[in-house]
Amino acid sequence: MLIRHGRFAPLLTLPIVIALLALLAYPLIVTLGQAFWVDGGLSLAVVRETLSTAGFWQVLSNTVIFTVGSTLISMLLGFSFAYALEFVEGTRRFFASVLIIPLAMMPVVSALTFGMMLDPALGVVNAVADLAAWSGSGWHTETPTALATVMMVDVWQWTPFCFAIIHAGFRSLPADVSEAARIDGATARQELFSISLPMMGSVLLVAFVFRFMEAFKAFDVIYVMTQGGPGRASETLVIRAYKEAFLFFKPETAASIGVLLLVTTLIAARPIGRALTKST
Amino acid sequence: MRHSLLARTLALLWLIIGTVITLAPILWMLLQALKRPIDQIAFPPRFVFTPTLDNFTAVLSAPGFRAAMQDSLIVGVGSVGLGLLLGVPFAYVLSRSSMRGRFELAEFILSTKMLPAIVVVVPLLQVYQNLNLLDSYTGLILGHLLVVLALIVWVMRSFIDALPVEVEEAAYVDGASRLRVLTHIVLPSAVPGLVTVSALAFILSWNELFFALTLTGTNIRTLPTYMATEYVGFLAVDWGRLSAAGLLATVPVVLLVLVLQRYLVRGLSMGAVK
Repeated sequence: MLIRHGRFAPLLTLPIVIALLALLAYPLIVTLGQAFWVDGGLSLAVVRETLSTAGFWQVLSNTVIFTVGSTLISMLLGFSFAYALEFVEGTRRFFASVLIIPLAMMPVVSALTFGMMLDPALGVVNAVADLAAWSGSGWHTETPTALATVMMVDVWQWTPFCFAIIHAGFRSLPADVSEAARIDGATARQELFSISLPMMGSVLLVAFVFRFMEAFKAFDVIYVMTQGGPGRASETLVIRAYKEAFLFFKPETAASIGVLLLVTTLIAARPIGRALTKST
Repeated sequence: MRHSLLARTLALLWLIIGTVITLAPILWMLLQALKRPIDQIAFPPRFVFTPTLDNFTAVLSAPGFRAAMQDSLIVGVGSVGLGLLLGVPFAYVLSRSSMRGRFELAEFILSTKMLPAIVVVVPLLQVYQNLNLLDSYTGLILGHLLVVLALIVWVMRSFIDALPVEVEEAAYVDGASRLRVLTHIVLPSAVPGLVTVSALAFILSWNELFFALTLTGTNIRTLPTYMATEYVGFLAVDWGRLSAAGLLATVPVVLLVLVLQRYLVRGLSMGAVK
């Protein structure tokens, strides 16, 4: 606590506050207005209309499935790779480098590449499946598999994120603790569940939270691969709001979906911020 | 030996599977980029063919691609520069002062990591229209501020937290002003942090699609918007060019991440994990 009194700290903070007021606070207020201010008075009409739009509940359930599903799957996979890496020694650096590569890939490019590979007629995946006497799948182009396919690409893109953080967590565990446990005869499983995992609580939380945030606002992969289709099969709230605003030119509907997204964000961000300030 | 041979073999096998799945799309992209058009659409897909660099030369000589790369560079450098200018002073306040409300503000900034941009973009477009910022570098740079600020503030805070306070205290005792301590002591010692944060923030801006798609159009097209529109037609997709362009747009960033690997986790976790 070096700069305690005076105007220095507020002065350094002022520029960012001005930028946030202009770029974030003002637009948020306008969005709230568009959603709740109808004909010169507060009203829930727009919100009610949005909620009763055909397919709204499907879009909501898609969003929940996508966000929760992608988050959990990439956490599990990321954890499994990070844990597996604890068993190898000489090749650790190699695997650690390779497994983080998708992180740097432009999501648009990942989506385009997977679109190319999963093309039902000409893609390499169905061709290989054909060799294995499996007729393949329609992937992102068919209703039953579209949501799962975009989730799969999202998981490919973001598993490295969970992996990198959890791997760092494993690496930062003090060696002498597990040493002591092993001398006392702990099995590998006991060591993982009773020693490593409890010590890595905050690391796992951080990985989970940021992965969740990213999945919640996912846009690129769905936009490029399916635009939410076919029909509404892979449409999430973010894609829906984008379409309402830019394809159907209904900014009020987009705004009321935006309010839903905003409220979810605010509810989630507070405990997350608390957890982060505590863990640092 | 730590673990049994069986456990080590299974772990290695799992890592190899992971590596294959991680690299397969990238390798397939490389194969497609090296194919002539006739090989690209061959069915079943060809794994053996006469390689050509035509796709790379075609992409590199396409004026649209070079313009997109230039736009991405300008917007990336601009938003990182502006982001540092606004974010680093506040990161310093967050780390070194007891100003009231600093954590609330920091949490508000953190929430931009989660807030879908669609929530702010429609009103922002109206403002931009009035200020003549639509489809301009300034407009997109301001938009990308929202993409990079949380990273810059939170990660710089963790870097500044790690600097020894005693050096700054000694400078105060010697009569240095607060501004002088910030510019001559804190910032020089925070250079590794500044480099890391700049590079990671640049990648965020480089890969960003949503703001680029909505705030710019014809004058300015960054690589993500260019990629999402140029090579995808209604009837035919030019897979060779698409793959070559995709590799050219991503490989520099992949290399950058591998170079930064040491600090990567700190950046990914907003400074929470070191």
